[in-house]
Amino acid sequence: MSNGGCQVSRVQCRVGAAFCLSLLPFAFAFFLAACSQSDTAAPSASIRTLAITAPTQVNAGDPISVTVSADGDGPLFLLATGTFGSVPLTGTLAGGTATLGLDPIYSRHAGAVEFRVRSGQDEAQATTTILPGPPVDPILPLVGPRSIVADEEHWTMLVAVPTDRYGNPLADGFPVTIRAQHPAPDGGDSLANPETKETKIERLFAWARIDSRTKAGRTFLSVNAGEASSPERDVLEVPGPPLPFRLYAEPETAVADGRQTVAISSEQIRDQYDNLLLDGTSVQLLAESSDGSRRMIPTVTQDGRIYASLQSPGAPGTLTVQAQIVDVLSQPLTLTFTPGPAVRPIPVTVELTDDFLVIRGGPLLGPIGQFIPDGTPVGFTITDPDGMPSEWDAVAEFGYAHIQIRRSELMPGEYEVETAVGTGTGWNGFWVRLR
Amino acid sequence: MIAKSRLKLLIWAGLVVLAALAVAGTILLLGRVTLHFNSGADPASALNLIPALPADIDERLHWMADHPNVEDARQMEPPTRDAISDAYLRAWAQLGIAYELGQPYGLQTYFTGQALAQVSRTLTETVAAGWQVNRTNLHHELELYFYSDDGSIVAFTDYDSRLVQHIRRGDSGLSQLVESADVWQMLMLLQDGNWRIIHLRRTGEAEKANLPLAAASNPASPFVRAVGSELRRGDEPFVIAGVNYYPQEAAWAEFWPNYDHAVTAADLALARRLGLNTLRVFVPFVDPKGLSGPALTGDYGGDVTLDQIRDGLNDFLDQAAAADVQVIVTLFDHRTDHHPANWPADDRYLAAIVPSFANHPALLAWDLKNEADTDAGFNTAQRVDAWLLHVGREVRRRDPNHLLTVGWFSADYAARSPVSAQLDFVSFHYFGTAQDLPNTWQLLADALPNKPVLLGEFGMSTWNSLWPDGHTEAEQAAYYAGILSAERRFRSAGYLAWTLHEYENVTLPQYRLPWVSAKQARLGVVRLDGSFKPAALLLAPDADLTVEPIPGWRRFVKPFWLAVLAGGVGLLALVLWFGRRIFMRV
Repeated sequence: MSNGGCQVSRVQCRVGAAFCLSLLPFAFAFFLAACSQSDTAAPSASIRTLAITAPTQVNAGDPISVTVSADGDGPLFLLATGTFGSVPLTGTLAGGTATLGLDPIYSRHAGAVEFRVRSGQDEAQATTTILPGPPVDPILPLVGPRSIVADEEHWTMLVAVPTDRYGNPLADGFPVTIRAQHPAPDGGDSLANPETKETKIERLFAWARIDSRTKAGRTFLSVNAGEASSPERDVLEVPGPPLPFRLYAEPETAVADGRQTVAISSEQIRDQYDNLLLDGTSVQLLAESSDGSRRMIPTVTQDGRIYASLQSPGAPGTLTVQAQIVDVLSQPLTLTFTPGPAVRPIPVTVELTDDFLVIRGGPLLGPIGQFIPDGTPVGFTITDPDGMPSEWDAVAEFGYAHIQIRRSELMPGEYEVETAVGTGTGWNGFWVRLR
Repeated sequence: MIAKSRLKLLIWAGLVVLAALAVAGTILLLGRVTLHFNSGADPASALNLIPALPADIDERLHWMADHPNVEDARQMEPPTRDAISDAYLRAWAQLGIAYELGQPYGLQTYFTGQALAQVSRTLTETVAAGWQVNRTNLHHELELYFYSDDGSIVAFTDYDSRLVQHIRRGDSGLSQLVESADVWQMLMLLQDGNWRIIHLRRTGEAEKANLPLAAASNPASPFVRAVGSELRRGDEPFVIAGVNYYPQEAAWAEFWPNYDHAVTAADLALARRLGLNTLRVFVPFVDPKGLSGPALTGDYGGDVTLDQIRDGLNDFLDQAAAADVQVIVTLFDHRTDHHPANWPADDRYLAAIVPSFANHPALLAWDLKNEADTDAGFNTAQRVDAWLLHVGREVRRRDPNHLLTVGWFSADYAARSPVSAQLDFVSFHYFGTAQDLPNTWQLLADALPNKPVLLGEFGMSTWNSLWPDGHTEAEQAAYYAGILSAERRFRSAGYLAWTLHEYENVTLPQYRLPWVSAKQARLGVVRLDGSFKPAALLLAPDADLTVEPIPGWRRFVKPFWLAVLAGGVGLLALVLWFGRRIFMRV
């Protein structure tokens, strides 16, 4: 029974299932037809009449309380935008009003704060100005340039941003005093009569130009605003361009041996206000020889003077020396380099081998019979059988100089050779025969 | 009863089919993964250097004439001004990045001293309170006030610091999107060769904030204007009777790259033959600076340049003027991401397009965005509304003459959005039943009294296939008659049908499913062969809207319902056959 009953039940189930299956296409079709159109959800909005009140102005750090009133209750979203940026505030309207406070960590930032509250399509806004408080220590002055010429024509600039206890720059119009202690004139009191400039805050800061005076040295600057003070800042007032000055040489006459040096120095160099030039002032020493060649020797001042060494030229003549500082030239100094170093006749020997011609000059002797310095240039002039001269250079070494020429470069005939060092000269002649 | 062996066979067959599907799915998935990992950034881009100046600095920062203070001071050297502009713009941008990251990342590069402490503290506190902030600086107007003699300190006032911020807290649903224009005093210091903000103070709101969107309604204006709840051209009411337009062989993204002067001429003539006075066209978003890559812009419009669009649109409008046809130009087509970071690029796009046509007589209105409300799901309604107000103001700033509208997809959204009240006229799209249109229209009329309302899109596809919701051309005509009859009852700004043409191909990615693209392709009123469907003849403003009523049963004489019927009958026959066998066995 139970099996048979079960069998009938299964049949009924299968028929029912098959019938349901046959309805599926219809159900699917209706489903598709129903889904073939769609819509977009629209935003929900609850419109209220809103009003917001905020204090017109408060001092930095004071709490700011904002009251919002509306014709309904509910959550509230208020945005405060100020110097600090934008800060969202939330609250709840109860009985049509809500009071929200701006956290003091934000109200400490001076500037205009806009409170904007929005609900649905309605929006209200109010503005509070947060005023900066009185100045506090320290005021940090920014000074530049840090060195100026002490000529009453150049200046430095000081910029100060005095702030209140929260770091807010002071309000526009707040008086600021800037003091400058210039170097005292010789014999004067450096603390007497500091220069004082009164200025005021404009757009966050105060500034002043401090003109130089005529005494070179260190100028100290300070700023005061209300009860607040600054650390000192210093500016160098440096001498201006020098007055024309003189050069000296020791010795003023030297032998033109290309080796000895002449010490060049100057008098103490000062600017128009008698300020001694600072050590390390750049100097260009310009030397022009009588044959037009030029030399430039860079150097610096020490104790207001120029110290430099000038190597003597290899040829006798004069050398005009001038020092240039900025665009100021010293008075010219003329140095004389006498002939030398060999002053006696020079014996010249010629040695002709199979392969080479060796010409030797020497001994090369100076005024007191000494060898001329090693390395002194020695010139040899060889005139060939056709009368064409050729120049050869050598250097003195232990009182002698020589040149060596490959014999194959010489044509047969009679040659002459002349040697010259300083005022000393020598001569010889030789034959080159056909081999 | 089914034999056991047959049942097993059926089960095995089912398993084999399932296995085959699983293998195919796995292959597809693996293919996509491989494609993904082989389509990354160009390796050469790893060596790209950051440009010395932001590419869009000219649009986003403008120096006003220097303050008279500066006249007897050291003159600012152009490279210094560039360096300050660069540092200032980047400081705001870095602040936006830091808010995006939720930490004061990189701020010390652009801020120092009190300013650094100030912005870092606010950021940290705001993020710690659970707020999420997206912000972008849009524009700055600077006046140099002070430049120190040693060239290391500069003070200036930013008279129009435009900033957009979206502030929200996920857990509470609280959200506010604010576009502000503030005045800031700034003090910057040259440190280590870099300009940094050392002090800043917000001193108030800029004067140009909250520019109204509506165009001035000057009766002497040669352009169409909104007066009360109607549009006027000169002294005469102007009722829009038109269609949404793409050329038949170059629809959607293919329109502007393949713009054809002759095709435009022919289609304008066709529109005039149908008695139409307005066409609505679409302009895709293209970033003039190329700074918004596909990640931001999508692929749509990627193959077209702004020059092509400008040239094409200019020719289109010139021909439309000659044919006495007005044109509604829909901007930002397929621009769907309205994150504040994209707004500067949107501004650039408007600056590149709008001014060229600010005085064109054939331009009826700028439609700011097609169906912008459908972007709400991705962006939030608040962000969409704020973005529309922003781009609306930008268009108005560049074109004070022409009307502004938004082609809303949903009339309900249009009625509630705060944007609608600021537009010159409201445009909504309707693809529901003709019977329900009066209710929808009434909803809008109640929410926005005294505002012209345009039925910006309506239509019915004549793709009649095995898929449900197919319609015949006769049904389309009946639908048009019903819609246009309702429109005449509420007559305001007019109507635009979707669309003029049928299309051979619809290549949009979102329409890639065959039953979707086929439906889109057959929405037009002009067949592929150029002949008119019956609905086309109803579009003229004075057309006789009487159409032959369609018996109710006719809707079931369609391929879909016939197929369903055949399937049902077949299944029933199968059931009866099985039932008979079962009963016979019992």
